[in-house]
Amino acid sequence: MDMVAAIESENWQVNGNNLINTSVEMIPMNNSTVEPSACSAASMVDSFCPQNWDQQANSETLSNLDSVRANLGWNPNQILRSGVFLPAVPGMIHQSLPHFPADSAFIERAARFSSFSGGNFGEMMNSFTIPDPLNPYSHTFASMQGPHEIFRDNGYEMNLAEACKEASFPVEHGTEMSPLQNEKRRENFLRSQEEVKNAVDILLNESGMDEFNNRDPIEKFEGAAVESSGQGLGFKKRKRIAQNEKKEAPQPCVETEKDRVESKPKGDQDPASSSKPVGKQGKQGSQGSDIPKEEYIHVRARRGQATNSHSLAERVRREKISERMKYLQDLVPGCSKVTGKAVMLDEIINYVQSLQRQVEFLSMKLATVNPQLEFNIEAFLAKDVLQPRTRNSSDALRRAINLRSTAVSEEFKEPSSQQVPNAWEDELHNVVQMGFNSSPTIDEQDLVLFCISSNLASFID
Amino acid sequence: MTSDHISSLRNPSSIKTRFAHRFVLALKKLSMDRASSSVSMADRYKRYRKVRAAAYASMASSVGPKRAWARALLRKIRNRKMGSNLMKRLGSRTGLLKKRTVLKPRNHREMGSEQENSLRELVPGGEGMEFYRLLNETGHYIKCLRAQVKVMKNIIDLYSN
Repeated sequence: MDMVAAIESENWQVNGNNLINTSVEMIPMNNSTVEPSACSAASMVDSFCPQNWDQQANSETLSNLDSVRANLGWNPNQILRSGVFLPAVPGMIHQSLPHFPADSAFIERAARFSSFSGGNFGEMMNSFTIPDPLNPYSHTFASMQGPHEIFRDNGYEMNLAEACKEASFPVEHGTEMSPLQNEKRRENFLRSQEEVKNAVDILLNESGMDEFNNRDPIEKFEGAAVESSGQGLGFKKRKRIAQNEKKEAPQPCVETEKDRVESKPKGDQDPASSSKPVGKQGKQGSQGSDIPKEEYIHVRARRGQATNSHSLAERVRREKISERMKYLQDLVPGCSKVTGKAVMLDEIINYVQSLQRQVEFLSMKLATVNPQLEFNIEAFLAKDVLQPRTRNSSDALRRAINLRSTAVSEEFKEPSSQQVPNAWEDELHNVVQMGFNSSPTIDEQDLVLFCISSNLASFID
Repeated sequence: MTSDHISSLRNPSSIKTRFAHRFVLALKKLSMDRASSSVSMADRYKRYRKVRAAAYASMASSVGPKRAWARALLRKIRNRKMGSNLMKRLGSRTGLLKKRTVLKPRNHREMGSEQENSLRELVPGGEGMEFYRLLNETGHYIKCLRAQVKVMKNIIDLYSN
């Protein structure tokens, strides 16, 4: 709580640019009229110090909403082009406020709650069990028919769904997740559910439902709801966000989506600087854990963080990198269970080193073999050099050479890291064992040891 | 993104074929050139170095200039070869051999993680590129290394039978 409050208060300057800021500011004003359904909500609201909170700002927001909505164009890709969405949203909230004070406050709170998945959600979590948020959530949403209708009409949910989809599709493979990951997801899911529930409660209490025709606050709410319940969204376009079934969609969707929405408001460099380290620390800190696709989880921006194009570009870059890591994971054998960027990188490095060593061994072997045999190019090319041949004679040779080569292989194993997966380590051993010809000599072994010791600085350098 | 993967990756089997051809040719050339089967350690080592250089060079040339690591690899081999030749003649350190790494400022040199830096060292040409590109090159490099190992194994198998 405190951390979030501190960050938020630090970040907020009511300039109409920062949606989150305005949202938070509005909340205290309506706090009296709102019954926080969760203790956390109340505490969060109380911790805010309303900065330029006045009706004027509210009116601005509301009036901006209409104009911005026209500009927005409801392009499904808008959500993905955060920069485009950015100018729209902040203005919207500002000007919509006087007309729908409840909406703005609610939106703010919803946005805040949805974004509040980072640090202190534990407090919220403690008081809730998994089933609990589900019931009131569905109940609350079920009672809101009006907003539902509007949600349906709103293409924003599709935007968010697509954004979630893009952001977190690698995490879709829930089957790969370990129990710990599932726990984490449940936690986040629970938290987001609670947030949505709070948001919905506020919405109901503030009873701006008649005015809900304005799509923008709803859009914001949808953003919050979708983010919070993004897990439930899965990655399909849904008609009714509010009545999402509580599927355990990957929570990174929520977080990356929140990043997008929250980062849209321009402006504060302070939040970026202050909250970025938090995010990055989280990222580094998580490398030791088993959270899957940790780069997603910690890509998530703190509230008010990443309000400039740099952060957005960085987030896009991070997502690209994580996708590439996933591809590499498929490439390197035995890495399907590996999670996390650091461990994955280690595996990749080991694998590349092992392959390079194999090449060296084979070239050494060829160097010793070459002068003894004649090169018949045509014969080579005729036979399929590309296909592995039956290894009957090679096996015999290998066996004969095993005694000799074990010493070498042992030494060879030393430089290997302990994380070498078995799959390609066996292959390496095969190479080593076959690395000797039928007439192993002391010179050969010395040569191999010489190569190993020099290691050629991995030849590359 | 998936299409990028596919399009950016050469067909490994064709690379394999090209590599096999070039490597076999290089080996033949080596076997003809070198003094036949000298048993001395130094000669063996030299031969081994040549074979390895031939392996990498033929792989890099089969991949083509499109891949950064292939270009860097060829550059390294040529520098080394030039260096050794020049060293023989001049007998002194030659500044020409200093391989200039492209120093892309800030983005690529910032506090890269430890693994990232070691990966850069492993993959040829990895110093000057940013992390995302490094991962791309690593993926392709791994594929080609695997193909190379397979071909070389097959050649050795052919030899030893």
